[in-house]
Amino acid sequence: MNQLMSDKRTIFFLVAPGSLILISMIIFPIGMSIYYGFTDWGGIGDYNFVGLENFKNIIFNDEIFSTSLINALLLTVATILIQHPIAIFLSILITHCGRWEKVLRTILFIPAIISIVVTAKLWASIYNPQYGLLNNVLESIGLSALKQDWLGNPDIAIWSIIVVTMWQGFGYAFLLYYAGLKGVPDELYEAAKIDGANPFQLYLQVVIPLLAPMMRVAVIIAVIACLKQMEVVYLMTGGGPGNSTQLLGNYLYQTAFSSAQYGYGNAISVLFVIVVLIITVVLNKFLKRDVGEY
Amino acid sequence: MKKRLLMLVSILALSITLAACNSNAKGSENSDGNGTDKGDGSEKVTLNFFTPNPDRETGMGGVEQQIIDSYMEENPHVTIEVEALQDEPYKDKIKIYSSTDQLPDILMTWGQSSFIAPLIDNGLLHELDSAEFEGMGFIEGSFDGFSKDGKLYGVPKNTDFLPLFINKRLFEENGLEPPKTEEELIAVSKQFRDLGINPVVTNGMDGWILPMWFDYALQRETGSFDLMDQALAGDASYTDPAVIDAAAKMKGMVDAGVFAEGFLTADYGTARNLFGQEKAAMYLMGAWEMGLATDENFPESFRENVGVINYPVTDKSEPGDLLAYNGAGYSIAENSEHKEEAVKFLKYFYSSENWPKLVWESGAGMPAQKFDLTGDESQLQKEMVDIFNSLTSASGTPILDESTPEFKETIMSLHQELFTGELTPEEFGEELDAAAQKAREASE
Repeated sequence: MNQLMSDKRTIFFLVAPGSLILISMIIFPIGMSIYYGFTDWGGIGDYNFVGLENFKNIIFNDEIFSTSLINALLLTVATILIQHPIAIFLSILITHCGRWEKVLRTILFIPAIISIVVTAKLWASIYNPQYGLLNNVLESIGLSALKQDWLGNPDIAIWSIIVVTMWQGFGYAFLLYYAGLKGVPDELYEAAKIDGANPFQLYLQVVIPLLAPMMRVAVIIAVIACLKQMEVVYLMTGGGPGNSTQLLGNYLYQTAFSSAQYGYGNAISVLFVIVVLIITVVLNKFLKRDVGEY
Repeated sequence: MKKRLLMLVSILALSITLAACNSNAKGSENSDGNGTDKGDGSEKVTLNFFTPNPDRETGMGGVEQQIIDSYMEENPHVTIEVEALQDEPYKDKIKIYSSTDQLPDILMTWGQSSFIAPLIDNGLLHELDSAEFEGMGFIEGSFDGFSKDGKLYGVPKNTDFLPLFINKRLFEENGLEPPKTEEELIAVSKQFRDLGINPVVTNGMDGWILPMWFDYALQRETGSFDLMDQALAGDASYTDPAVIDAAAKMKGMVDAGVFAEGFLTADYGTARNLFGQEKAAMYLMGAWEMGLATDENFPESFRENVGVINYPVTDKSEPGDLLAYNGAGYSIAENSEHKEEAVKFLKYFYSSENWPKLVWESGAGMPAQKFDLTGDESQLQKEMVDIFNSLTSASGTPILDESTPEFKETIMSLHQELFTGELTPEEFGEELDAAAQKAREASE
């Protein structure tokens, strides 16, 4: 085997098919996508090379792009600040539930295994102002004043969407933290108790800091999932009413395929990737702090 | 020597695994490739037929399938393979087929610039000879949308227009009269609201119905459909006071509650179900919904009481001023290997005992050809014919489909923004003007 691996030609022949697939399926399409970003192609037929025109337009003139970017960031921040603390709290709670632990953690994970299409249609029915569960519940408990057109009112619609994506992604966030908690050795709990820590101190000062590596993973997964989120919006509002719930993924799909501005859509996707890369680098920098061995 | 052998063996092993993947990939490619059968040299012909009517049992899809089946029976050497998708995915897939130059032999097209112009301009559609379809009773002007520079690229299959469907039982039981004027529409909507019944439902989430409604709103202001087209062509402006008034009027009607709560997030199915399940008194939708009267999914009390009226008027317009056009039709792809066979099939399809007769009898829609009344029409069909016969002027292609695909997206979302109050009627006019300007530049 050693002999085999030292022959450069063999290595070439063995690596060639794999790299060919990689190049033709991934690297080449990405390159084409960047290339088309510099053209005014409509998806069919001839096109002209327009230089940086598309990118200039997106950055300086395209309000929908900035709306979708802000919405995506809003979704990300809301997920990290609302969904994750709840997930940590519930995972701590569940470790104390004794024989109910297994059942409860399965129940909490259910939303994550339901197909997104089903989830979206389910919530669209819950929000429906005609026959929706939410408005009916509000009415029956005497809060009719709070009744809303949850998806039709552009001020609230994005929040309604955020709730759905949080509900949908909750299972994974929970699972990560739960696994992290299980990884904290029992000795540390005992040591903290012997040192006289009350439950609050135990969790706030010992366990949660030890969850930091898991938090880092969970936060990065959440950020990526939120930024590329499109299915829920596509299925529930189509980005409407009037682009108020537009997200980047959905917007670039609409531009490329519905508006037949393939070149412009590709330019959006290129900028989209750049934004995601910047955010990831920044995040990595902030989250790099090591907690040490345990 | 040993080294070389080892190398050969490992490459062999690798290529076997790869070959396994490869044959899988090929298999799936074949099944949706253009499927022409030329292996045995006989005259067997396979035509691919691509349609946005996935229900192959009832409605338009059912009629399509029925004609296809009988054609295959009469012409055993022809096999027609049907691929069907829902409307929006259909339009997306057409774009993918076009960009890879793999359009199916026969495809459904819409005779509207926003859809068909890119296909014609890039030479993807086969030029048809209009003489072949003479004497089949096509309505005058119905070929216009499918023609460019005097050449014909598709044959229309439907006459579409936008009426207002009503549930007569809900009107009668509450002692209300179907609205004849726009004021009556607002008044009757308020009364329905007070009774806890939804007035008008429609599919605002999909967006396309809203600009179609705008065509009516503006026509009812000015007495003609012309201003809309002139402004799009740049000969007039959407900042014209009449346009602003029409926009303000539409916003006023939305605010007055003419449309049911949540109409901007209702998709096609939701709106149709609300009406069909008797939860709404009126339904703003195209004449293609004629099948409501025979749809077994809805209660009998609905099917017996569904009716249709002209869109309400003002004193400047006639009830017969209809938003009417010949939307859908069939075209043949230029890259098809069996164009002659495909033309033969289309001629068979459109002959008077097939499409025009069958589609009318099935109650699925109104053909773009002359047809005979059978006497067995549902009440809804009779009312529909009466509305069409009342025609005093027709709009032609609705505004949203007259320009580029981008213009269509923009005008749809501008309407939503107008109705949610993000845009004032004046801003709406300005934005619309800007979009029309952009579309003119793009199509130059």
